Amino acid sequence: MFTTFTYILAFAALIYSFTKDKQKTIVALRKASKAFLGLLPDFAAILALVGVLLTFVSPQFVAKFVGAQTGFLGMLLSSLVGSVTLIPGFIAFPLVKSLLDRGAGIIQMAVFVSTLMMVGVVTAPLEIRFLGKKETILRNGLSYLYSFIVALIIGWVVGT
Amino acid sequence: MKKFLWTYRFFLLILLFDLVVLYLNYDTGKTLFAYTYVNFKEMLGIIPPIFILLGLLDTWVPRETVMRYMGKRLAGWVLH
Repeated sequence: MFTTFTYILAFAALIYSFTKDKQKTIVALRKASKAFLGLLPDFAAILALVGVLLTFVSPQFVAKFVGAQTGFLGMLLSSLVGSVTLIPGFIAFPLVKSLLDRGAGIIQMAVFVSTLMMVGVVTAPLEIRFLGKKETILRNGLSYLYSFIVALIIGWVVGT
Repeated sequence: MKKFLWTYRFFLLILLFDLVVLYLNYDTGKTLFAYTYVNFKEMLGIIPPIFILLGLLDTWVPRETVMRYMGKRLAGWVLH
């Protein structure tokens, strides 16, 4: 449904753009393919990795560690993994989707995505250099707490 | 060629692993390739129009406008 919509929108925009300015449209397509090819190596690796994950990791295993009934411990585990890993959102979302399909809890996955985006342990030294120690600790600490609050709200709204 | 191998090293390593699994246990390997195939089909089906739209957005809308409304991050992401 959404995919059909984006295809129609993209083609309509493309045709409209082509009638307006042929040269600009070609530049746009070149930029699109360049951005896509730039992302493809990481993306292909993650898609292949998710294939491995789906084959070898059983739903019981996922449910045991980050399932809905793991509660706070599952959230804590997800938040720790989310804080130390460095994955672009574009790649993290399909990964999370497959984990959700495998029986992961929505609250746990929400914590994972939020900490992944906002808390960066690996990038902290870099952040300190640019923003200062106090700001970095405050920002990461508050983001960490915020991730839990947001996840609880998401769990409450979506309903596990 | 060398550059290609290096760029796709993670993907190729996983693919190699998949092939080893296929060799050692045909059934598991088959499941593995089926999952991987479905993943690729699903994702590569969704992505192209999004990139076309981003490309058009990037060429028609000045960079400053994107930054003003969406923040630097999106602009940077689109323009890389």
